[in-house]
Amino acid sequence: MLETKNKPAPVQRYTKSKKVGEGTYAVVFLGKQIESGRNIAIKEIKTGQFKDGLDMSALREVKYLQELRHVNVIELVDVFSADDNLNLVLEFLPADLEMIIKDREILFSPADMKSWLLMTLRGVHHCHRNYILHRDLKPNNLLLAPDGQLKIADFGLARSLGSPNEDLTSNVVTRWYRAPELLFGAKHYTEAVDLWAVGIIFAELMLRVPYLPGRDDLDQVDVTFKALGTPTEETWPNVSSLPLYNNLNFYPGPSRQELRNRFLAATESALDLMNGLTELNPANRWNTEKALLSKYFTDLPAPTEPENLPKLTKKDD
Amino acid sequence: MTSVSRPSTAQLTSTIQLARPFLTKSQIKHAQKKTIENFTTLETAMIYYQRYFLFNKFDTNIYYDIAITSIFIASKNEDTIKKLRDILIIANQIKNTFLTQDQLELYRRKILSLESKLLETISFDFRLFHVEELLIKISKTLKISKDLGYLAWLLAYDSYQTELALKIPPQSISIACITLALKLKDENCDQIRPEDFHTSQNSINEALLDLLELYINSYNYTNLASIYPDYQNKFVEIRIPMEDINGLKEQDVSVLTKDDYYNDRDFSIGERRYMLGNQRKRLYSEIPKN
Repeated sequence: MLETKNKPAPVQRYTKSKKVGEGTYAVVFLGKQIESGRNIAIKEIKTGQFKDGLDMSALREVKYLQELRHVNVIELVDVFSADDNLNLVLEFLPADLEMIIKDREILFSPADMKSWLLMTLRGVHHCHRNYILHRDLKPNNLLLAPDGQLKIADFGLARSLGSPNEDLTSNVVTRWYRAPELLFGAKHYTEAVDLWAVGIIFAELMLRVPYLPGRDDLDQVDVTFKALGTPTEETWPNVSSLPLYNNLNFYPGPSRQELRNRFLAATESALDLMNGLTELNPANRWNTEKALLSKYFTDLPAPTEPENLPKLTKKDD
Repeated sequence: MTSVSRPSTAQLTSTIQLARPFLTKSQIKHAQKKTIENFTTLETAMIYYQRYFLFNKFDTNIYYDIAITSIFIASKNEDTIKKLRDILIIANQIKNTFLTQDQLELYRRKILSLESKLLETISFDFRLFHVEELLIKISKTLKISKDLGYLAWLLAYDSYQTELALKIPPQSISIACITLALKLKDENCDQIRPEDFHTSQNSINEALLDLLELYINSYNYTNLASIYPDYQNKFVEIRIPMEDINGLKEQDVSVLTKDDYYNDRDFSIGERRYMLGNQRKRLYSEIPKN
């Protein structure tokens, strides 16, 4: 009974071929798992005297990805240190949703958008049911596997759901995808921040341009509320007690007809889902379960099978 | 435990290192055999600190630095990050030493290299287990009064002076603290059903026995003593009728010696891999099936 039955996995070896990218805390290389021939990406974590030891983002990626396994979340294949460097071995994912959105030669059908949104929500749902907030959802972090599966990546800002006595920083999520409670500097927030970002990504898939592109943090507030209406005590009780709820322009919310004009191709059930995800008051915003069970996903057309989704037309190298 | 024969270290360019969240008492003793000569010193340390010395030699020249390193990593993992330089300034004030800017920078680099050693020792396992959070939730579920909850909370804080956090999951420690608090106030603790909290009576007993041992033998070093100075005899009274209760079962030493987990950590191997061990089965198998 007390025996541990886990056999050690065979020691894997990897080749590191070309450097494909460099971020603030890591250099990314392409490579192969030698035994299986599987393509992988190796993230080599930078260490330097100016850094305060292991980078927080690297710590978060290891911490959360080690325990998450889901077809729509990037797989952390291995963690190893070699020559005093920490290396994260990740699934190789050649494209991301931003590249697809920007590729003007690709046409999306409504079924394609539904498929990408469904996979995104499934991945986010898996994070949330494990009490993990991603806090940086954007098209650029939704990677696409060669078989068409969408995978949520970059857990460098992720954290577990805070307890009520903990203060969280509101300086998270890339500006254009930042939920109103974050714009108001809330120190306590929930999974709802991720769902807002999904709603904005949904709009971006339909429009093919960023939905709420604020120039700076102040402009973001204005752009957001001009498009969706400024929250008030009536629509969002206690909103005025949030730290940055001041100097606001008050805009009325968009009517249903205005939204129909804004998203010409959207069906009524698509608009319902988007309204649910971009609900200003986080307490009323839809959660992943409600979104996944919404009529939009059962209405025709059925979501495109991942392998039949559009792929990038140009290859850069 | 593994039965596959492996190549000797000399030929290895790569090795696997598992992370295991919980060990039994004999497993801990087995691992510590090579590292600690003075057990009492260890009792004041916290989890990372304890984990570090499961696999690295205990040495009075370094324990203060390991404590700083443990605090530094914990501050990252708990999202309450502090600059290492700031931690060092406070640490030196407490120790009453003065360092010049250059000395401070050298010290900082030393801690940074200890950081990677500590991270390797814990196999990059950042899973967190907190007793107090669960303790409050469980107390509320059981409708324990606020006074009793506070008493249990004090006990939980002292539990970090024992090896409990290395041995059993936090809900077992929480329930043991609540049970002990109820016993201290001569209240009934029959309403606690271990299976409601994914744990077993044996694992709770293990915690109870360790806590009682701490309070009976080292009462004056506990936090409880500073608030309730006269409880020591009560702990002895509680312990007497518990002669025949059982803690967790221990592995046979012959099994331990075959387990690669306790092999010396060889930092000269060029490539070292880190995995989370799949050990939960052991804990689940002790939960009675309905």
